[in-house]
Amino acid sequence: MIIEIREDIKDEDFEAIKKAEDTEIIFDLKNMKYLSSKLITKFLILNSEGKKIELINTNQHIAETIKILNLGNIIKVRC
Amino acid sequence: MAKILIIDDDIFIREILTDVLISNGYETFIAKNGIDGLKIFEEHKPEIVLIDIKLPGINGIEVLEKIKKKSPKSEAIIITGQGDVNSAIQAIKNGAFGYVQKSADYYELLIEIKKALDKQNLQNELDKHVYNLEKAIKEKTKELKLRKKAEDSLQKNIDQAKESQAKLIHLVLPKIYDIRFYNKCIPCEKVGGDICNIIIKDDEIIFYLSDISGHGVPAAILSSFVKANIDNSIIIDNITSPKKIILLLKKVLKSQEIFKENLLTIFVGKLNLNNKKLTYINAGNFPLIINTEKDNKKEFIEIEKTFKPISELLEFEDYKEETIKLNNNTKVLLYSDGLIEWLDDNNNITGRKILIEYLKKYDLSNESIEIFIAKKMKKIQKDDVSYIFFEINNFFKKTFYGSYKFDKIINEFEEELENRYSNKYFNYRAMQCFYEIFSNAVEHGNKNRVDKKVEIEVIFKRKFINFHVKDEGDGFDWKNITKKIPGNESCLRGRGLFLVQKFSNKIKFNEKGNEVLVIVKIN
Repeated sequence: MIIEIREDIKDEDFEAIKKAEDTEIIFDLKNMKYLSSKLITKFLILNSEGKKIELINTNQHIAETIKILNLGNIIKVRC
Repeated sequence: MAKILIIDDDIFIREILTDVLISNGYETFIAKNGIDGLKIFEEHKPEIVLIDIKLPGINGIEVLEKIKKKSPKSEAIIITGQGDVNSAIQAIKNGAFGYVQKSADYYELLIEIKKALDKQNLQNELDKHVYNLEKAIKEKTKELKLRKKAEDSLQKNIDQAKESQAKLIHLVLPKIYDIRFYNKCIPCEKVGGDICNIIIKDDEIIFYLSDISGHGVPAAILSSFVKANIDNSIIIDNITSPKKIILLLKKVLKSQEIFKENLLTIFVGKLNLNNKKLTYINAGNFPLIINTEKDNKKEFIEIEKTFKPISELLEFEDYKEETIKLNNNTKVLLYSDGLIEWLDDNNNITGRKILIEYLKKYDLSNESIEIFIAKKMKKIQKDDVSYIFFEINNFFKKTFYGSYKFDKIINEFEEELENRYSNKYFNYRAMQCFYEIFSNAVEHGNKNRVDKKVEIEVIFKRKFINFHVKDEGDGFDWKNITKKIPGNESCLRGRGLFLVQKFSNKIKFNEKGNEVLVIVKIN
């Protein structure tokens, strides 16, 4: 499942993703400049629910953020 | 069934009209003159009144006026004889709905009555709508007033929370002669989620900066909780190890349901003033920037090593402390992600690279950081901006940190110097000497005598400072002082040395009392 994510993504959207059958969720971040810690928390919650998380079309800052947070093995990043 | 009152002195007309109206489904009332008509009108409140314009006693126009005055919504139709059109027109001007001639076909009268009733119904409908609308507006206004009141109350609470948080996050920056501290926390909303602090415990400086996921009041509540716990660990429980602080925090957070779905990044550092070693753990914060000198060249180091943030959503992390030795003339910047997550005019993010380039170009100082923020703050602030910055000067001193008396004296002395002298170099040297003499006096006392009393008088004269020391005891070896001052060769001929000599020659130690007491008299 590929989901284009925007800054204004709602909690309900994540609830829907959580309930979806897909286990591999790819988030397209082409419209995102940075990741808020709240959003990263949402990814981690999905991961704790058994979903594999991958981020595509990330900018350098987002890739750097994931690296600094040491979350590379949980949230895969494809620039 | 609409009620119609017929006022006519002609019995024939009254009877005909009554028959016609009843047969058309109306309820009728009759009156033979104006006075009776007004009485019946008062009693039955008919919707329509048919008034003969020529009535005995008060005439039709007067009756019309009185009816309209009593009940403006009631409609009156004037019944006129032949050639009495002018009177009828006058009646319409006075508020009659219309007029019909007695000789006319009654069909015309029925149409006129129907029109008057339709108008009346429309008016009633309109009035009903207006009433309902006014009622709805009143209710809405009331609701809005209540909401406004609630919002005002909420706003007041938020403002109070903001004030409380501002007091909470406001750092009372320690004043140490050889290290200058700076700090700023700018929440992106009214209240923020970033927290930081600098705490001095004996010979160690513990500092931390933490960012909690989310913004606004919920994040502010969580951050206050986290800050209270960290400060408590350091100040009350005397825990200064970054690893212990983080593990304790993790333990506390684990016990709180509210943190189950949260993320907390934190950098905790401990700077030992004796060995100049910085011990730290970085759990997901952006790297600490260290600006130092190596081989006479300025060097920027970013401490890249990080661990995962603190969160119940992540597996156990074995946080390990790292250590780096700092040199003299070192500057340290610890910042939250908000400092580099600004969007420029082209909607590009500032990023870490731009911050480093900027600091390299304009030199790392509190002023340059503030200018960087001020420039960026013209754009939209997406996140809390916080930083701790400190400059380590020429030497570390281990004694007197946290000593109220000593701090007070040093501050008073420095302020007085700044007020009186504009020569920064002179002031700096004077401060060095002053500091050295005090430190040595007390160190000497601590090692050999325990109890010392030193009385020092500092007398300011025009463009000159004299130190007069009242003392008793062993005297004081000023060479031991000057050799500790960096660059003391140049000091040999400077006013700094002069002051030290002047000062140290007169220092003697007092064995009385059980504390080192330094008295400064400024005349």
